Order: sequence, then structure tokens, then C-alpha cells
Amino acid sequence: MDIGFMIDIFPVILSKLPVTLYIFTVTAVISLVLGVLMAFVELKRVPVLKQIFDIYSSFVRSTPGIVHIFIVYYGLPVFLAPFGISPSAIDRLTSSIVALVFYTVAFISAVIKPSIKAMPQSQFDAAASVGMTRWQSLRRIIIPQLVPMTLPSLTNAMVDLLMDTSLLFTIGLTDLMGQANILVSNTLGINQVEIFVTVALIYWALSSMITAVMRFFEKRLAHYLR
Amino acid sequence: MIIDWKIVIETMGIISTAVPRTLLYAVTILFFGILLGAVLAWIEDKKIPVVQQIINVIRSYIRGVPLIVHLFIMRYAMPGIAAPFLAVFGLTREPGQFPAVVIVLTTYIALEAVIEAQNIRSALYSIDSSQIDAGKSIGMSNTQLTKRVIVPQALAYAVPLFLNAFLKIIKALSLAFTVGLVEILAQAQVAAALSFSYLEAYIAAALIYWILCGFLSVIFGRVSKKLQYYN
Repeated sequence: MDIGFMIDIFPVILSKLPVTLYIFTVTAVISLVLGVLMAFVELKRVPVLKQIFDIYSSFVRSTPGIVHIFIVYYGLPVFLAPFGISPSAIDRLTSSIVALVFYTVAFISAVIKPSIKAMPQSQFDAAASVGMTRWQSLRRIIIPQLVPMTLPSLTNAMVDLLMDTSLLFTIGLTDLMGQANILVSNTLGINQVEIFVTVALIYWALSSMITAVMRFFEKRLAHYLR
Repeated sequence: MIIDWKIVIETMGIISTAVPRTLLYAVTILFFGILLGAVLAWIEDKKIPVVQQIINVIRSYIRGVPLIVHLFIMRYAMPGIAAPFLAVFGLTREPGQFPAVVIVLTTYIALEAVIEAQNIRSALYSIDSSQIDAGKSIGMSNTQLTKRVIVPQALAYAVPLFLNAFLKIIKALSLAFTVGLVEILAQAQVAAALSFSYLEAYIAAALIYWILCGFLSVIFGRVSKKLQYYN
């Protein structure tokens, strides 16, 4: 292993970290919002929506993430053409985020649903008995307990999302992995191991950081559960 | 929308020829993963000071790095690592000709072993100590205790985890095309290259995965439910 070479290419690969982080953050935020909405709709058993969501989550759980990335990359322009959006308006970044959101929402909803279900009815009743409106009881009683309950499994979903971003180079996006592959072709087939070990170390650091941040919030919010 | 469903169905036919092969790879990975995982669980159970810390670091590394990065490292590192061993048998291989199936199986089995070690450990710890005391109280020998109390309960806990892992392996194998192994997704790409209809080919691949994993998860769900009887 050529450590000197690894130190040389480290900043080159790291220069694409913002791309990975941007996709990760935007996808995480959108998926969280949609995932929570989907969980509530599913638990309320809204007639047609429930069936659609059931089919959707069965599809997402049974298919690998990379297939979604390919289908959205090739399919989004075709799908949006009838709405008057030209294919050139959809860049790789957009299709990456759309694909990852489509894939992640189902998992986030699956993580949140059991926590909502586990919330005892007595909590709702107690809130109602002191005259809280539905929204007040959600905001003051339910959500403060729900968040620390879901955080551990949400951490896994977030780490999984980070792992999924590593597949986007297959549609030509230049993120950490994309940059590594450019380096591989530039170095004419030597030091490939060093390049990907460097990438591995960066991903390891990133996922450790995600886990650490989530643990921090878990600890901070734990007192709501008592 | 302009999706040619005729091509989708034709491509599904082509892709389905790769299903038995993919299942075979997945079974192999799961089998050796469990086997090595059991060994790893046994080592971990001894709580050997330095070894335990090393295993923890390796586990954190394996969990924290995307599968495709592991795969690429192995793809480029394996030919070099294997060369001296092959030379013992008088074999030489160009790095580019190193068989993809060896790279994929080795990588996935190693990763699976780490995951299965944890599943096996949690299965063994899931057994309440009162169960063992109860067995002893009616005079069971250690062999009887293992055979009639521990193994049935540990299996009832572990088998659903193994089955779930099997589905995950099938999906994870979709990345194997990047190193040149022809499974479901790679077969779809071959078909796409011939017909120039990429969208249709990937939709066909998705449908195959959906049918395959959907069908398996229904069966696995039933098996897991039956096993609940032992817990």
C-alpha cells in the first residue's frame, strides 16, 4: 500500500464531498417529511391511498436501490415529457435525488409506523382529558415521545441512505465514488486499491459521524421517554 | 408515456434465465456466511481482550462503508493477494482475468459472516436462563438440553433473521454487475444493450426482483410464523 499516494489523492476525492453531502441532506429532509406523512396516512387507513402505499412499499422493499436509480435516470425524462418539461431540464443531480427519495421514504415510513402504533391510547386520552386539541396533544405529548423512540432505527435508515449515495456514480454523477473512478482511469490502472481504500475511509468517517450525531440527539431527548 | 410493454415482457423472459444462478449465489453466500459467522460468534463469545477490540473495529468498518466500495477494493486487491497462493499450484492469472464470481463470493461471504455472527449471538442470548434451569430440573443431560431446548429455540429465533438476510443478499447481488458477474441486473443490461431500450430493461429487472423477493418473503413469513411455536 502506497500511503504517500493516498495522502496525495485524499484532497482530490474530498473535493467532491459537498456533492455527496448535498444529495444526502436534501434526500434525508424530503424523505423524512414524506415518510412521516405516509406513516400517518397508512395508520389512518385512508381508503385508496393505503392500497397504493402498500403496493409502493412492497415494490421498494423487494427491489435493489440501484434499479430505482437506473429507472428514474432513464424514466424521469420520458415521464415528464408530456408535462412539457424538456429532458435537458433534468440533470443527474435531480434524478439522483428523486430516485433516492422514492427509495428512502418507504423505509422511513416503515420505521416510524411501529412507534406511532406503540404509543398507548391513554396518552391521547390523557391529553384530551385536560382539554388539549388534537394538534396540541400531537405537538406537546405525542411527538416529544415519538422522536426519541424512532431515533435508533432512523439512524440505520440514514446510514443506509449514505450507502445508497455511493451508487450514483453508475449514472455518471461525480460524487466521492465518481471522483474515485475518474482517478482510476487517470492513473491508468495502478494504485486502484489505494484509491478505494481512501474512499472507504471517508465513508467510514461519514457514517460514524451520522451515528454520533444521532446518538447525541438520542441522549438529549431521552428524558421525554421517562 | 412511451414504454414499450412488449419489450418489457420479452426482456423479463431473458432476465428470468439468470434467476436460478442468482439464487445459487445467494444460497452459497448465506450458507458460508452462517458457517463463518458461527465461528466468529464463538470467538467473540470468549471475549479475548485484544481480539475483541479488533473485531469491533472491523465490524464498524464493514458497516460504515458502502458495499460497492468493499467490492471495488476486493476487485483490485484480490488478484494481487491471490497470486502467491496460485503460484504454489503453478498457476498464473492476469489481474484482468481474475474470475468475477470468486471476487463477489469472497466479498459477500466475508461481509455476511460479520452480520450473521451478530444474529447467532443474539439468538443464543435470546434463550432465557430459566429454560436451561427447567431442563436441568427434570434431569436432562447437557446433550439433551442442547438438542431439545437450546437448539430449537435458538433456531426459531435465528431462522427468520437468516431468511431476511437471504432476501438482502439477492438485492445486494445487483451490485455484482460492476465487477462483471452476470446475475439478474447484469442480464438486464445485456438485454438492454441488444435492444437499445434501457428503461424497459430496468423496469423488467425491477419486476423480476419484485416477483422473486415478494414471493419469497410471503413464504418466509409463513415459515417464521410456524417457528413462533417454539418460542
